[in-house]
Amino acid sequence: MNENPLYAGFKPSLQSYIDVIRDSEFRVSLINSIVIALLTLLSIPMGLALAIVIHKVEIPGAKYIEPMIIIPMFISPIIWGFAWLYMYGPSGFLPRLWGDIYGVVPVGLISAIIHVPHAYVILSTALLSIDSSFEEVARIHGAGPLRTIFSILIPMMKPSIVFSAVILFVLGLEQFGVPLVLAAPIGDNVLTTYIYQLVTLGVEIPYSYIAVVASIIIYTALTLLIIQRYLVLKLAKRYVTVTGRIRGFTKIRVSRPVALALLSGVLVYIVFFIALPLAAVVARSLSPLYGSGYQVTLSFYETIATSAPLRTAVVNTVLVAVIAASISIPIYLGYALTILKSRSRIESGIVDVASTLPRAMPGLVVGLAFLWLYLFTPLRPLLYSLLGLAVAYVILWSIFGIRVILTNMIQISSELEEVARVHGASQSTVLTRITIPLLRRAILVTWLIIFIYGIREYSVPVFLSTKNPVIGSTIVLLIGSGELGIIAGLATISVAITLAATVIIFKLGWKPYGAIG
Amino acid sequence: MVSLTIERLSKRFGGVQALRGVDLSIESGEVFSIVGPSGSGKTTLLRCIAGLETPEQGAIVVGETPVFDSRKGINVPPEKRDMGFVPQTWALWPHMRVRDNIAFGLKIKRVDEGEINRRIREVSEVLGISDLLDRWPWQLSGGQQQRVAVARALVLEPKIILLDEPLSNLDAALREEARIWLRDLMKRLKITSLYVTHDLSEALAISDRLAVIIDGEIKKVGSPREIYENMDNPDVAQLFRFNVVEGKITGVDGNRVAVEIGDGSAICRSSSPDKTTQGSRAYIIFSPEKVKIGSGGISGVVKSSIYLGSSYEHIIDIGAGKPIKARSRTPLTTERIKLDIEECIATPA
Ligand SMILES: Nc1ncnc2c1ncn2[C@@H]1O[C@H](COP(=O)(O)OP(=O)(O)OP(=O)(O)O)[C@@H](O)[C@H]1O
Ligand SMILES: [Mg+2]
Repeated sequence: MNENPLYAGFKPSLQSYIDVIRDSEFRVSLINSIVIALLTLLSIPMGLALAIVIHKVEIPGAKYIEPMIIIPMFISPIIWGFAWLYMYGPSGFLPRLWGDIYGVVPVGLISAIIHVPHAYVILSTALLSIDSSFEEVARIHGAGPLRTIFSILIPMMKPSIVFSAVILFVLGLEQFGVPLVLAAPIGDNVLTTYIYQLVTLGVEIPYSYIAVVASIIIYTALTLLIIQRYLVLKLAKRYVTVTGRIRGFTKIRVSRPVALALLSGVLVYIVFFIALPLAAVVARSLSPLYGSGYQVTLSFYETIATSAPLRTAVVNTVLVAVIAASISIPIYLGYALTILKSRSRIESGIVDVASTLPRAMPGLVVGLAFLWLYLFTPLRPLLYSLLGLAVAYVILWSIFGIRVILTNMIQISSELEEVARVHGASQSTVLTRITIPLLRRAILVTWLIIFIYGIREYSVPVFLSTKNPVIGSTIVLLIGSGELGIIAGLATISVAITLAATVIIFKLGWKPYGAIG
Repeated sequence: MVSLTIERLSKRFGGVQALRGVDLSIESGEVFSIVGPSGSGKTTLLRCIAGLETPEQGAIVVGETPVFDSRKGINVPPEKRDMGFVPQTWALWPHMRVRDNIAFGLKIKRVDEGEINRRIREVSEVLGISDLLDRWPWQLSGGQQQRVAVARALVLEPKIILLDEPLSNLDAALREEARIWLRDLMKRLKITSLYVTHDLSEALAISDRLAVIIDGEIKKVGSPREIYENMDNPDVAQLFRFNVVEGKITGVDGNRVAVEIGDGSAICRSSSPDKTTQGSRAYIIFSPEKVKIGSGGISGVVKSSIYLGSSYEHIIDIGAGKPIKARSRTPLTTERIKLDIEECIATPA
């Protein structure tokens, strides 16, 4: 094995860890990543405020606003990096509106903003599960609306706040897209961009070194996630109270001016942090210049259509997403059925624990892991193929998909069994005639989510699709080329496909609550 | 101690008219129950009184002070109405120990520390939860949680206490025990109490007076006894498991009328003598206890019998539309029987 170039200089020893820790560039990257991770936690107060305003206060149009808050989750951080650059960068449409956007601290703040949807979803799930009578007693016993929010609602959400804090810290720690666009170019590396640099810039790739850096990230993330599980389980036990017939969910009535003020706050957030940056991507894809020199041209799209690698990237992106979504369904469904049928606590326990694993690994590292897997095992035919990439996606997101299906199955399973027993139908008849038709919506939603994730993914394919590029990896490769118009064009195509799929999911009545976690 | 007056209160939810012009007057210190079938508007009424829902019309007056008046545009928010509340789920805040749950409202009112401790000590002694003050809600049994929920409301010494089916999460034995101490407590503290339940026996046991609400309308108000002895509303009668059959009036003598039922007749008291005229149709309302089986002018066929422990209840078809319920000490031996209605009320159909 040692003849293989990838293993050249591989010394599995403590020494390599010491080398890495002695490396000042690693230490700076680590500190930068931690700073970004800490700043990412600011998404929690923002997500919390949004969740409370949307779900707990009567404001006009809340139903239409919610999808706009959630959608950014489906757009890749690297596109967000460019979106901020196009809108608020030094030569953007609104140059330096928020000050300098290059550097570790701005990246941390942008990271917080693009992760607000994650916090919003986790905290909304918690908020929506709190029976209104907890607040109502507080109100009748003398607490005003604000007091009720701060003394009752928010403390009751503590387990979810802890839960989301760990997830968001890990997401910040592993942030790749935004720092690649807005920190690495000025020489501020974070752990992921450091790994990327080691792979791409070195003449000889220091794989053992990379493995050590990657494993440090994974150990840190995994430790945090395990502590989180423990804390949440401990807290959750305490927070279970009697549930009788649940009264439901009521909103706080506020005066018209207050409602309008809150609504404007939410709209300002949506306009400045979501709509304008995305509009800038589209606008930049249609013009080589910002501001006064702005003139609409389709030349970037023409380039994308005529240049073989770019066109292939677009086609590949859709193909990989469709393949991944399509092969994921039978696999996830089969797995969910096995778990449900065996009623094995151990297995569902494994699903639960394993669900944290994909999050503990940055996409870049996952890409490297699959690269090695395909290189050194009989899976070699998958190397650099679209199918190989799709397989990586399916495995990576399996826990998430299985959960969506499992949640839906558990809801219908008891009735299913009764029907099966009473009518004497065979297991397979029940499966094809009842289970699968009943799960149709869940299956469709899972398909669409895996599809959207497939369109969105940019870090896994960086090393895995060298010969079959996709949009995400192409954008990564184009950084530094100065081809900002082409990048904007590719980003626009990616966002357009994502939005179309998102509209269908929302039309299907899908709610993201509980999806992360 | 304060009275509570409700005037022409109406509340609708989209297409559902949950309350239709409710009028009620609850005296100070009274334990007053609202009973009615599921979906009749009991909880809605309670929530309107608490200020959790805004009615479209009407007024709510606590003592002399209006807390809601649609005409004058008064709508005091819940936290300013000075009430205590015990919800069905008890809703003990899980992030606070029992002591802090009870102290919450007092802290908001900025009652000083010593006074808070004194009041908590007092209320927890009365409710027998002194040992539980340092526990978390999840460490309590259902009955204990329910007591804490009551303590949390009482410690505020509210003008009015609102209870929405507070015993429905307890098992049957505990429930019967709880309603006795709950009534004793409220009478002892002389608190004006509004108690919502769909359990009739609970309402009868606990209240000084009660109101029966059906489909958003108050159909009857009175003491348990008054209601039982003047059962002249067919809907209320059915709720209380009285027999209601239709018949023709064949004779009138003052406020007593003769009514044709099945193949026989009965002499009933008329609820409105000017309307129950000769030849008109009327509802005949009578309790299953007032059916004498064995002899009489009405013949019936026993459809089914169940054993209730100390007596038997029979479903008997007397050819007057719906079968009637009747009780007897001993099982019936024959299917075809004769019976008499000893006491009944006739009310115009
Ligand atoms: N928030 C709401 N939105 C729409 N309809 C409602 C709402 N709350 C109550 N209703 C409707 O108003 C009517 C009265 O409901 P309410 O909860 O007051 O009944 P209830 O007498 O308390 O019944 P139960 O004994 O089942 O608790 C019902 O038809 C109910 O469906
Ligand atoms: Mg109710």
